[in-house]
Amino acid sequence: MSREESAFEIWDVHVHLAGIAGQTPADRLEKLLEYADRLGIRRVCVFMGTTFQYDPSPEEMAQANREVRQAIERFPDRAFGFVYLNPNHLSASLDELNRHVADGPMVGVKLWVAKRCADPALDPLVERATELKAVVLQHTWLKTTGNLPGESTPQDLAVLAGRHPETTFIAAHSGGNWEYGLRAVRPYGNILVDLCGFDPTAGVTEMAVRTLGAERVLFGSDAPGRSFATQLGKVLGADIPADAKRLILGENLRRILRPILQQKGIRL
Amino acid sequence: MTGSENTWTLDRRAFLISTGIMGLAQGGIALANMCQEQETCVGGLEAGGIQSIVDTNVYLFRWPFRRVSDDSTEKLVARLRRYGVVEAWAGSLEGVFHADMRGVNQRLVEECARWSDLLRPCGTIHPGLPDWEEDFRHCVDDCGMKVLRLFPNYHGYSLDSPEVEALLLMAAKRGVLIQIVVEMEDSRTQPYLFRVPPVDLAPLERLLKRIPDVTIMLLNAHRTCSPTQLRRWMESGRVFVDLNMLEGVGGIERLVETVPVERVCFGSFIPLFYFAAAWLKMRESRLAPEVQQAIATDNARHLLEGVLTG
Repeated sequence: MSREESAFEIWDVHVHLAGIAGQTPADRLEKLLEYADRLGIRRVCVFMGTTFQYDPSPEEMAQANREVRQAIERFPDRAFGFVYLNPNHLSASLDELNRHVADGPMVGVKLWVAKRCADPALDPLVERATELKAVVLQHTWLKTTGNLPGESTPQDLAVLAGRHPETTFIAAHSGGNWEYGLRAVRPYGNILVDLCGFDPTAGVTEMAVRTLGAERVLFGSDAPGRSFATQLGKVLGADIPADAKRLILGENLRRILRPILQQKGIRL
Repeated sequence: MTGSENTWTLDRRAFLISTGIMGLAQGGIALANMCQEQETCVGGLEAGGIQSIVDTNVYLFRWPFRRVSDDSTEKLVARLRRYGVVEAWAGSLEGVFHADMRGVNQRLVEECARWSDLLRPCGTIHPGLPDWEEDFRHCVDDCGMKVLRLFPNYHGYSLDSPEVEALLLMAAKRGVLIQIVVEMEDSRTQPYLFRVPPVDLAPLERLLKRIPDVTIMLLNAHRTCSPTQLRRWMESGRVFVDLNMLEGVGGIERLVETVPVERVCFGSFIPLFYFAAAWLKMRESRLAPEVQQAIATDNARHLLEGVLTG
């Protein structure tokens, strides 16, 4: 593969193992990669195990992370793992963070809906993640229909990011209601957004680039619940320059993962 | 690594070239100059076995809550043509919100006439309005429309209202396809002061039994309806569905495991959704070339022929 080609690899920041068939976690990932291959997606970031748990117990959290680890270890050249943490179980979460990031292959943190992320209870997790150079991907939604009790809004993430300016955060789903979410995170340069997990609504990518700059926007799919195709269409179908598409489709993710990948001796 | 490295690289290269992510060394188009054409994939259309597309789910004019790239007809038409769309069934976004349906449908017809080789006008009927029968007559008799679009949730009526049954009877009698738009937007992202739930399709089965000759296409149905529900309606009557809002990896593959392939039609929901999203679904699912072609074009063509011939 030429150097020029490798520079244009498409990387997906947001993939799950739940929602696709397979006897083992690695079998599920293999199936996902078959679909990814059809659309030219080279690498995926995987998190949260084979079942979704809103507020996982320490054991459920550990099991989810073991499953992700089993999956990514079969495909080291195709998949990265993010460790799933629950701020309601701080000690267990720190153990998981050390086990899978400090002493393991994972490169990021995934936080979902157990606790709203503006809560200071998250600070020790974020501080440790930052020490390890791990990026922190936080689910964010601002639902017209109402959020879950522990579900973070993009405004919540803005508060957290303000307390931790050295940490690289990813606002998953751009807040869902993206016209609000993009505005909420704009002042915080340490927050990037991913574009996944909502309909391929025309205009989202253009607004993200206009509001944040293309350097703060990431392609993600939320597969298998969402389609790689519909989410990729948000980028490929957008009226933005080709250079911006390249950033969104992979260069930005490579840039923010580079410190931890270098630390782990992973060469791209 | 799934598949061989060589296969993956070639496929990826073709994909990236076709989408304009890479410079076209052979095509001679500089990367910096590829803003308008970069998401098109004529090579991929050919490689994927899709010769042409009939898009059954298109709109003209503006959505009131945001501006989007293709809400001018010139831009929309250019986009459709670049993707190989040869016929687009176009409704009016004005029809979702206006009460003067005669004006809505007249403007739609006039706009479609400017690109009559591509755009097929699909008039809006609001059977909750007084004198809606005249709108039906105008669309069918004066404008020659064969496809009409309903927005029960935005217009505030239920499918079990007597006017809907009367409308479907008229449509069956006159050989007109009725498109029922199940939703326009995810309820989680609707404006706070303008919340519209999806259409309740529960009365559909009874309607299909009472009016067996009517032909119905459900648009934007997949968030609300499971493939099993769709199959039940398809077994009860002449029910078709478009692809829009079909989600999950390999969505089309999974859909046609449950519903008959010949009842599935391509629909993009442009300009409210990115056209590329619908188009890429055809690549994500592993479909035989004849199945791709059926979904992309033939099913819609046969559907209209069937409506016309009764």
